Amino acid sequence: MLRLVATRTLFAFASLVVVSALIFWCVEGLPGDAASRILGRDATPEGLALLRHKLHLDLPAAQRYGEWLWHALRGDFGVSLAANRPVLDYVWSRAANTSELAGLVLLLYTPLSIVLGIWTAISRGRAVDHIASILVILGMCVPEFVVGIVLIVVFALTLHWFPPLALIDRADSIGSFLRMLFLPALTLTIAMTAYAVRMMRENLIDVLDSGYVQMARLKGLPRWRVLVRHALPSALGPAINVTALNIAWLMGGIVVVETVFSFPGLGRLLIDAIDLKDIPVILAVSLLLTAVYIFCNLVADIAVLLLNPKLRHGV
Amino acid sequence: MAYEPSLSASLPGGQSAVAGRSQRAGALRFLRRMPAVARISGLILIVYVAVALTGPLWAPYSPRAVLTGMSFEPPSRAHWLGTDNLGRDVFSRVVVGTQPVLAMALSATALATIVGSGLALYLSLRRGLLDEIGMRLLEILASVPPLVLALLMISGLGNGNGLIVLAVALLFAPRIARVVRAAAMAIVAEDYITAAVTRGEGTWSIVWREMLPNVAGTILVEFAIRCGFAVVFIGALGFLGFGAPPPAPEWGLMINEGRANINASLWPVLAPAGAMAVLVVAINLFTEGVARTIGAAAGARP
Amino acid sequence: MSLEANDVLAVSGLHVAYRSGAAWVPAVEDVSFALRSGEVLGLAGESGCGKSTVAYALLGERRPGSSIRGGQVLLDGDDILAMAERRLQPLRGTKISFVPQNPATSLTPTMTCGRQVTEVLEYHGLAHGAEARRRVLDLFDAVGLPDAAAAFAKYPHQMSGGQQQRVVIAMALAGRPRVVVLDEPTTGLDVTTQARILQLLAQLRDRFGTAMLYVSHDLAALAQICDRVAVMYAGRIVEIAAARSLFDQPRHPYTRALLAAIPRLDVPPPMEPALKGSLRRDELPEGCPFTPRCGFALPVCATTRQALSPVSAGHAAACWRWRDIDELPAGGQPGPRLAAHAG
Repeated sequence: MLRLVATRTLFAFASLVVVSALIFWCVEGLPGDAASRILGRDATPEGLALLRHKLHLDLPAAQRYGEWLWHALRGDFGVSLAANRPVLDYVWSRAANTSELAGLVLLLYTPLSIVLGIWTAISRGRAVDHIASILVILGMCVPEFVVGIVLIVVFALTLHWFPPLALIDRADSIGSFLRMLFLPALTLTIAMTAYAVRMMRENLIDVLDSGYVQMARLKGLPRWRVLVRHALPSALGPAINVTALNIAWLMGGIVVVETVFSFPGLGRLLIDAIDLKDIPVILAVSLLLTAVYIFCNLVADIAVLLLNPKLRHGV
Repeated sequence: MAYEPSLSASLPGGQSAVAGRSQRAGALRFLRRMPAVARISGLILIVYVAVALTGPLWAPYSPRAVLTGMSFEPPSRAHWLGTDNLGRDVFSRVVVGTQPVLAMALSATALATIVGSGLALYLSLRRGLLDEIGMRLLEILASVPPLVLALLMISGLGNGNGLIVLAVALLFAPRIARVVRAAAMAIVAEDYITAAVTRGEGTWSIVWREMLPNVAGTILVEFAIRCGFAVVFIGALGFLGFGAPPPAPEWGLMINEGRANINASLWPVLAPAGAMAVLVVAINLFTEGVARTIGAAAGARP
Repeated sequence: MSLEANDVLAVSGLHVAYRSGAAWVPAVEDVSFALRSGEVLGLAGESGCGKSTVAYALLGERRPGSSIRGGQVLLDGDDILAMAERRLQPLRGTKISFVPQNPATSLTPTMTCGRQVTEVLEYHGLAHGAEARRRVLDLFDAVGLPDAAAAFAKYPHQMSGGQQQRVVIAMALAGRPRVVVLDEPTTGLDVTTQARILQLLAQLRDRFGTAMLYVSHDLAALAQICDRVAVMYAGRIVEIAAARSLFDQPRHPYTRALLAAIPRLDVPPPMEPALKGSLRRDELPEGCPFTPRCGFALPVCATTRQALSPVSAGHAAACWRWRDIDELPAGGQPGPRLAAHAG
């Protein structure tokens, strides 16, 4: 079993390396000249030559990739072309912002999804369940940017409970900081919770219908004990799996939501960098988001392996 | 969002030639057994397809015609959903915008499904080194956050509709392959497959004749669900400015354009947003309803 | 069956139906029997005859999609069917317990076996901590688990099917119930294990004096362990008698056919199968449900309901022709003499 975990982890690392090459190729190796794309119409032949030399574009792509990777592994991602700052601390401060956002999301999502997941599974077929399934469908199908805009319209522009944009760099107190953070966090929470509730409900219902849960009831145990001691432990693995997959999904979700709310995080940074053709930043942020994505998928897989009692305790 | 269909069963109607009438009767009975929600969703989908196909013919205004009225007019008899910041008729823009969305989503998902399922089924039969390498490559492709990769590809290669379709197909194919492979693994050890292999049938022939009818249900359900994702994904690309450039009547783009002036009028944002949301919800409810009905028919107890 | 002083369980008029589309289809109709203290009553019949439904009903458990439409299950005077779940909980595991068919799916995979059994004691307040553990270890010994302490710490999937079933039996006996209901406890186990489990059950019955309701389609198993046997068909009891009587002198055509269907080593198999066709719930006649498959039936059987009528002391059969039944050859076809009466 440990072998399975080890192989899976190794493959994750290998994927990261291969994907880094893929990203590099997408950004730098594509047809068309990066230098002329950056300078645009104002390009002079001398300017182009200078920029090409500065960006090492006169070197073959493979070598450029190698150099980039080598530096990246030591934490040197170069200098941002747009901001003229070392990429690493530029990205770092944005990453900190996104982490705070993600933190609030998890804070909201975890209890909400657990409670709703369990509640709808226990009350299957009843009114609560039907209402919840409608909400789940809406949460899963309505795009995040639509949800975000609706929340802005209702809670910011109409009710004035929260600011419509999350310009947290201008927050002057913890209170206003949190208020700015809330609507973007809520937008992401809605999408994640909907998916989680649906998966957990299905899984828990399977468990509740199982022979061993019925046996626990026939032993004379009360429903709450059957639920907590016999049903929920089996649902734990899938719950962690779903959460890890949700966090992986966030890597794409934040791009959209940060744009909606003008939140200064990694997602916005990526979009801005692409607009500005700030290659070192594009590479760094893409790699970072991918690394987190791969990591979360790995955790999801390992959680399922580890929490399967048959695999954990061996035969 | 990855969604695992909980039912995988073959669709009725196989390869043998059955009298046309009994097939039709079977289909009608099938339709009647679907829950009401699924039937309504199916109707909604038909409406969307109809609008997509005919919209440009009967839309009251051209989607690019500016100043057909004042900017930000509220809904009125002249403009059913009002006008946007350039005085364009919102209703016409939403209607005409249906076609590109549906066309792109359907073609991207279809391409991804064909390639992904084909590869998954083929590799599941071949096993061995080819299978290992093939599946690993697909897994690696699936290791990139989809939106990030799409943004990078589009920024590098351009934002033509064809390219977006290819990019989306590239992102979905490995994920579809994963699901189809799981279904294929369940039947690859069955006797009829082994018999076909022993008979010396070509791999593609086995895929087409023996495997496909049995995994068709899974594939179709996966296709339908992914179509819904494709609509949202393409909308997100448009919203972020990576889809069709203005002044195209693309829903995501319209939402982004309307966002800046949302205080002036909600309709330029809510109309395309609503159209998108309803479409995706209808796709999901319809697919679920159909999947459940098939599952109930296949696993029916007397 | 009238309630006698030492009846620990008395079932009367049990009706269970399940939902099929808009209609209710009866699964169990008017089933009545009594279980005396310390006796083992067998409930025999084919798949789909309703015996498992009866077993679950004795614990007040309704299978999904079914509903208990009527009847009484008196356990020491209290009607199980009239009790709400909350009132049933203290009785389950302590006065009446259940051994299900598939031990592998009946044990919680995330709990050790020992813990699952001590749970019964601790939750019902019968013993706690070290005392509970000691009792469970004794039980594990009693049910024949080779290393009780090791078994205590094992998870269900780490044990064989036979061992799992022993754990489940221990779990059923932990609360020293008056009645244990067993639903096909040896189906799915290999023959040797089956024999050993049956032996174990007999020993436990002798040692603890527990009454048992043993549900099974395996007549051979029932013959080994039961004091009395009731045969069910299409949701009704068609014959009930002391085991000896039932196997030596069956009085109902269905029982005779069932017995004849058991392959024997000393006699070549008959040309005609003893029991033709299968139970078709949707084609049951108004009268005796066995009529379509009965080699002994006369047209009047299809329209007259059969009630259990006494054949001799403690033996009842639901067939008005029980007296003539010996003229029916074992193969199930009417003999030449009867053919003249038929029609």
